[in-house]
Amino acid sequence: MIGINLEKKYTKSSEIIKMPIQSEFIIPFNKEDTLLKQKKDEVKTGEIIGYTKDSFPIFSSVTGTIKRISKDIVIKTKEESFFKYENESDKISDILKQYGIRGLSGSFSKTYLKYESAAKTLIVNALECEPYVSCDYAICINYIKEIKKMIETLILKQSFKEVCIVFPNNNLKLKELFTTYFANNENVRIMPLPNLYPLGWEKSLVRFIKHVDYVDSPLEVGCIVSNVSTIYAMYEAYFLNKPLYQRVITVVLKDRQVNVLIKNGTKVKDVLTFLNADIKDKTLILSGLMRGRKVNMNTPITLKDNSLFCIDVEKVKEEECIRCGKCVSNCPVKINPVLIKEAMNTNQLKRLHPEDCIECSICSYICPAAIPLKKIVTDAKKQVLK
Amino acid sequence: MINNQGPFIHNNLTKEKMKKFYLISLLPITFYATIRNGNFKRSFLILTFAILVFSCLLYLYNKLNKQTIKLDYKEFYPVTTILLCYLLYPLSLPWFFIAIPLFLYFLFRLLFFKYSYKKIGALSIAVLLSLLLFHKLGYNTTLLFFKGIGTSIFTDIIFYTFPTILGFIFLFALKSVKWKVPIVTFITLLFASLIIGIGNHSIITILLKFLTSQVLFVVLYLETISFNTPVSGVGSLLYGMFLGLLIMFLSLKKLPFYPSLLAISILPLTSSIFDYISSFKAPAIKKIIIPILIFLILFVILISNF
Repeated sequence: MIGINLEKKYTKSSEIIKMPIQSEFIIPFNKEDTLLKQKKDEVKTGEIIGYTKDSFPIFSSVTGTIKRISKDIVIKTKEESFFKYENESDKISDILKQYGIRGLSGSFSKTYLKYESAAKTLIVNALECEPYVSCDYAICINYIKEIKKMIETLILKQSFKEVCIVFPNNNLKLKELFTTYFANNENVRIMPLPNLYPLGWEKSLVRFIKHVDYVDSPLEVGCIVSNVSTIYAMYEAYFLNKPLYQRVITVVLKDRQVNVLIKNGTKVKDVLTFLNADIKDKTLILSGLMRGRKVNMNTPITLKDNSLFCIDVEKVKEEECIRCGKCVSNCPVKINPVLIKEAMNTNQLKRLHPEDCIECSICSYICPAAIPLKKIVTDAKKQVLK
Repeated sequence: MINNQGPFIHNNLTKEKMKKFYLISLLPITFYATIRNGNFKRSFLILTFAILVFSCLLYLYNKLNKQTIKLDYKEFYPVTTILLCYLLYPLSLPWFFIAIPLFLYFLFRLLFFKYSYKKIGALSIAVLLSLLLFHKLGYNTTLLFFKGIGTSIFTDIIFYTFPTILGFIFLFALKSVKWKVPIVTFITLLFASLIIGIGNHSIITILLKFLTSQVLFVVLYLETISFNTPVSGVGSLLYGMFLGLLIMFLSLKKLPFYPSLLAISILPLTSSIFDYISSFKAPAIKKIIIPILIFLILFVILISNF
């Protein structure tokens, strides 16, 4: 089983709207991170304000004054001015580290770690299998030249022998676009794939394209998987010396779907006010309908989040399991959520390998009895990893 | 209920819909079987009795444990199918044939999983009691399902075989049935029939017997009861092969209570064992079991023929 076809009622939107600067931004900050700035300090857009515990830079997404430092850093904005950088090295991985480039598909992994390897295959992922999300599609339509330039640079600098660009086979516009732009490039393969969830997941992609399995990372089988949004962020870092502090997200409202360029730390409230959204009795969800989480109006949108939903959510009633086995047959990692549920708090749990779960939520989605299997398996995963 | 974590969308195929599809697919054959058996009153009595015992046991269990579990027949599949069993099959089953596999089933459940065996227990006791009662009341004919006076093989094919297969296809198309188990059982039966048929030139007879007898119903419906069949792919495969083997054995040995035994034995057949085996990551175990089962099938055929 490679995935399921999820209902998609909206047509994909390719327009990208730029969000105006709001009065206040909240940049998430962990206790383990090192902060370079103090309260009332001035910061510029793109300036380093701290480092994570593994020395990865945290950038300010706006220009302004640090108003408060508590769980997060709250910045009161001023007129925008940009912090200027020079490339410290010509090596791709060094540049990606310098500009804090991370995977924008949802993994949020440090991209430079992938490009430090000598992998010979690059998989450019434009599948975007989460329902109603179209930010990658919009990036492809609007920045295809930049993406092409970056891919060509990567082929040259990283000596990739093969670049596979994957996208949904029902998206004819993308097919035409990639075929036009990469027709003369021998190293690039245009690969339309079934529009199934979660085929966009690294392991599924590598298995589908290369017919091999790996344990921890695609690097084990000589592959690098990068999302198109990440490729575009890499272009901005490599050619424009621009750190990663903003991204395009898809905002799905009751009657429409739009792509918005937002800065790290923009509040949900600001985005919805800007779009004149009807928020009455609506549920706010960040990061997709399958893997996302419920949030409130003051939650900041981070670079990890690819979408914001302000919609009516259907209420489901949990019932008793009928052991139909749908969760098992649809699981992309071939674990057995039913048996995990039955074996909770027993010594049988370890044998069922709940730690393999990728939290794709298919089990909960497909369950006819509406059992929150994802939560159960996630709890089991925590129990086993303790 | 809305969780704080995804998914926030849900598949259209709910348990309620599956129940409806299941009932719709069963209606034509149930109707035909009831007319054929001519046991309306008796069937109705058995149905009512089984429902009452099941409800009382659940109620008592809840009271004794001071729980407030709402009784809403969540165990729909076994209940419906077992009740339909009463309608479809004249029962002639010695009690210990049910008791032994039931005992093994619960033992396995208790040893390996903390599962809601209380409900299966209540259901099985209900089945057991009603079976015993009606066995004592004289409902112990050894009539086969479609061997009544005035029927022909063509009537059976038209009113029984086709609706049964179409019902299964209907459920399959709506993704409401576990298709792996019956398909594997069918292949096992076909394989075994072929070998026997080559020996005594009776492939067509065996196949016709299979298609017009209650085995078809057992394979396509009773085996696909969600609740009691394995959930894993490998488990379903093993379970299907094992069941094919059981059907073949019972059929070849010509046991007088074969139809009812077969139908009931599926309920307590320890499907959990197959799930347990298939949950091991080591593929070696799975690889060993399949050839062993094939060998067993051949062995049973050989023994049965001599």
